Amino acid sequence: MATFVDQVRELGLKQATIAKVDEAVERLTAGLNVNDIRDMLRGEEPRRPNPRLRPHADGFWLHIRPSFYHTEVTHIYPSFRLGWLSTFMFVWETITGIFLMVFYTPSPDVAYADIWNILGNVPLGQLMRNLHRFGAEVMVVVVALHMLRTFITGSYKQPRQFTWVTGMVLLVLTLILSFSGYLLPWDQLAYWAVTVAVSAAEATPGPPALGENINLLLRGAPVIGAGGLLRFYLLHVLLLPLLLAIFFFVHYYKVVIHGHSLPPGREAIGEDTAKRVPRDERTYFLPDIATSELMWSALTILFLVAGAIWFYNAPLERHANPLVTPLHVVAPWYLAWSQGWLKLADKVFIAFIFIPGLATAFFLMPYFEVGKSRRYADRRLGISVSMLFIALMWISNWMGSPEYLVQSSPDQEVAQELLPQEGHSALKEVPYDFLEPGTYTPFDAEDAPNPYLAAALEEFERAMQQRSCSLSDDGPYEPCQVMDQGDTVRYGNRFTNDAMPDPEAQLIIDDYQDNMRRLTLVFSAPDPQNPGNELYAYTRTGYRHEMSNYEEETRLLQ
Amino acid sequence: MAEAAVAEGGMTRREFLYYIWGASMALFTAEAAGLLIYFAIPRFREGQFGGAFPVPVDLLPGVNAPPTNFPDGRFWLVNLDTSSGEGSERMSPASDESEPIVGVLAIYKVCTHLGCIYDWNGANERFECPCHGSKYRLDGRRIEDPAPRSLDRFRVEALDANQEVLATADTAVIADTTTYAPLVLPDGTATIRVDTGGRLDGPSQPLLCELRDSCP
Amino acid sequence: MQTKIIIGTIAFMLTMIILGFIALNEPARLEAFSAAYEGRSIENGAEIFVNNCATCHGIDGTATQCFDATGAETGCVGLPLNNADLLCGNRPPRLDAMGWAGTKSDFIEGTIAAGRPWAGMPTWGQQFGGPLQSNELRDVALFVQNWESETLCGGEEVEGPVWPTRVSDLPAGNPENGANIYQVPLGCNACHGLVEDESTANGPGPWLGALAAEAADRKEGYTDADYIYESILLPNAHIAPECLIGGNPSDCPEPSTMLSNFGQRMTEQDMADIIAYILGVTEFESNVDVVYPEGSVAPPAEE
Repeated sequence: MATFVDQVRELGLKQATIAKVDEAVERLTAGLNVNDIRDMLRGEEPRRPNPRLRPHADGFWLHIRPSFYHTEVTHIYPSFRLGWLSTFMFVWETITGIFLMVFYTPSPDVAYADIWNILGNVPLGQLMRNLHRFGAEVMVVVVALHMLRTFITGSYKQPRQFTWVTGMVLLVLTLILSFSGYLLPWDQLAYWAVTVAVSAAEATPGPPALGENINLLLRGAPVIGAGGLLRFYLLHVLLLPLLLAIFFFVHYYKVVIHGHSLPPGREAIGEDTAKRVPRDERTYFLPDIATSELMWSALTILFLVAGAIWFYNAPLERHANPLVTPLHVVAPWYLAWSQGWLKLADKVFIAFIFIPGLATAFFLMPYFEVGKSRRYADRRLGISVSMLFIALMWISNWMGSPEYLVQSSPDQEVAQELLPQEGHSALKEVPYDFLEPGTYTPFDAEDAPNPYLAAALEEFERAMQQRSCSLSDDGPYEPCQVMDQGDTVRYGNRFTNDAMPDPEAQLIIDDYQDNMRRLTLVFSAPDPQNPGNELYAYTRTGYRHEMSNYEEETRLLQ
Repeated sequence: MAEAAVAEGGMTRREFLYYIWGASMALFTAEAAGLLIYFAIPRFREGQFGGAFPVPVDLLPGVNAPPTNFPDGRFWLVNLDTSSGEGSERMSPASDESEPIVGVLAIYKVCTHLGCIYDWNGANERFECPCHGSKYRLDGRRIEDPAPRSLDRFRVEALDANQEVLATADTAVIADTTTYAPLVLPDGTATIRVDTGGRLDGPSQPLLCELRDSCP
Repeated sequence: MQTKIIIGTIAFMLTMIILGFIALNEPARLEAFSAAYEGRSIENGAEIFVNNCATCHGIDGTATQCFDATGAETGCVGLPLNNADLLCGNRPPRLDAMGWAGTKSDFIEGTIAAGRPWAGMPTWGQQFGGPLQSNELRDVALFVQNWESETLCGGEEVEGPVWPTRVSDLPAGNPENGANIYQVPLGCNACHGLVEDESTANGPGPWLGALAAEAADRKEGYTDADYIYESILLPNAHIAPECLIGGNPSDCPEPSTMLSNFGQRMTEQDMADIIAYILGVTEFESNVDVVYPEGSVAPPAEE
């Protein structure tokens, strides 16, 4: 090997430098010199022996990527690139997560303030948080779709059964990752959603000591506190990503070894299409697949950024309060199905028999679903079952959602709609300046001093209509259906069995401090059986500060 | 799959497009890097060291009076006027100072030698550092070794009652060092804002003890 | 293939443009969010205050109208918070009066957290065994400070009540009415106990039952009515060295923890009735002038 100085003497400085650069590039790329790269960019045929295979054979970064794909799997169908997208989302979450870690401390004393600091004092902090949280929800959807696609195309069949198993592990890890991150903002939403979900652990069948200890292990204390937050943080940031990376590599290795499955019509079970791809059906990674992946990366980034700015907003409720559970606590949407099921059956049955049973069935499915054909026509039963299962999951999800929730008394429910303890409401959409002090009834929408307040009052009327009834025929509400149940009389209407008869309702807005207004809802309904007594008498007060800026958030409704 | 036949060395359209894409990726990466730095550099709120400290003007010490201590901000506030006769035991012009020193200075509490927090010695009417004995005059000029330079200064602004900036300390070059000059407070100053994020080294003026021939 | 390259390029350029716009808007957005955090904390503080503090300090923080849990009016036993003495400027007069060297917000938050057990204020902070988390303490402190305003602190002197300099110029007092207003609405019994029953006077104020006999000897040149008149209007004017609290010989605290806004809460008739109740007479003699400062109760603090 001539030294650089010798080369300069021989070829002159310019040529020697070019040769040196060329050599460096070839070493960096493990086999491609500048001309090879240029040929790739021009779309030329590679020289022989094909240098574009060398980064895969000899290089680190590409050694796990296949050097070529069967052309039939390089289009959107059959994979829809969902496996690739899942991996991209994991990398995306890791990167955005690390940046958020710069400004977050997992201690109940400061976690919540840290989130507000990210939102209010860190440039692009809100964007980073939205990217991370939006990315998490996208990842859950993508991973589920990937699983669905793999099932429908029968790609889990021999020899790819274990790939499916590792994929199921990855699904579970993804869900737990999402769930553990949910607690970190330490607001009411996070705290109670996680408390509700983790409380299942206490119900572990067997000796009480087992359940207690599992509870302690997860929470770090009998209730979620500083220990719980730290444990969830470590899970979210260290253990689960590590496990996910390990299982990912196993999963991906097997995908490459067996080759990506072809569309069902083209690849029979057990056929080894990976090692025998005809030369004319190969698409090489460099440059074609690489270009494709780069383009999809660009599009995904654009989608995530635009989404995080314009159609997604990560919520933040008030500081976690272990002593006060707000009404209408919900699990995150991807776990709402479990809450739905929990409403149907016993906690122990659901958490320790039904869900584990279902999960086991899923994990082992490739080992007992051994139909001989991958073709859609031969798998009608399987595909129908999967569609049915998806429908079931939709329904369970709806059952676990706020609409289906446990209802308290009608006056509190109306108050909860207009002045919720946490979260969005019609009143929050009214900017501070338009909350004119005054007393308003549900029927004042037409006389409202401005359209914002009018809209809020319309919501007030709508909520009252759903939960009130009139005893006489010319009242403003639906006629009451009187249900005499012996020692109590209940009043219902078309919507509910629990309605207020002839209620008086008022919304009072007044000034409390110079820049803060007080919103009071007053409900009263006398007992028709017992005039002089109140059947319903309820007041709820909320406050609105000039700078609180709820209108911004409610623009991107959650 | 060769595109338009071009002579060897000429660029095909595809190649050109790749280069444009590459350029856009480079720009995007540069923008992302810039934005990430913007994201990651810590910002300080008012009252946090690194941020601004507002001081009501009634907390300013008297002319050439002993300094007022602001421990959270890690600075001393001094009010200097070598042309008046007051407080001359603490602040009198040295033989190489022809111009009077007038105005408000915010002096960093950290000794320029090795980082200890020095203190004001009322009996000796000067700043003295307990670690290795550096001594400084009321305005921070070094009196005795081992201080390598005079005390560092923070940027000072004068604000009126409506938080409008009336005046900002100028920088001056003293003994080859660019540092903050004392700020003369204009009329109507209600608050003095000390920016602990803006610190300049103190000048490397000759030791006062050398001028006075009193070095130990 | 070329399409892919072009799509990829356009996607990156669009992302760049979007990020650029967002970055340019960030300073304004950050300010709005910081303000929103403070606004929402104050809202939360309002809720906590109304539920916990208003019974002693009054809903508007002036300690003039207090209601107990059943809705009945009761005496306000807390100090007024919504006043210039505590809230105006960086160093309101109250801090110096209490000998506090730190900031106003630390003073307020610290007092809420630790309470004043000797004066009847409960300990609220969880770190000291109370019910409120540290973020709740901060929220309440922010709420209280939010009463600071131009109206409260603006240089304009607030018109205050004008009290006659001579207690003898007060109208005739009605001891029976005095007995009633002694409890509701003035709440004197909360600190001083009932005049008829010494066992009810456990502090933080001295029992007043023996005052009728001793008042004339407390201050040189003052009649008994003069002394009581001055003690109510200007609690810090004289701290009796022989002051007993709960029957024990202990110094009454200086500065006095007695509310200093009675001069704003009472009418002349109220004052006459209270003095009449304590002394057991309806007409009063006077030797000295008691000068209640004209204008605001506390001078407005300078910014």
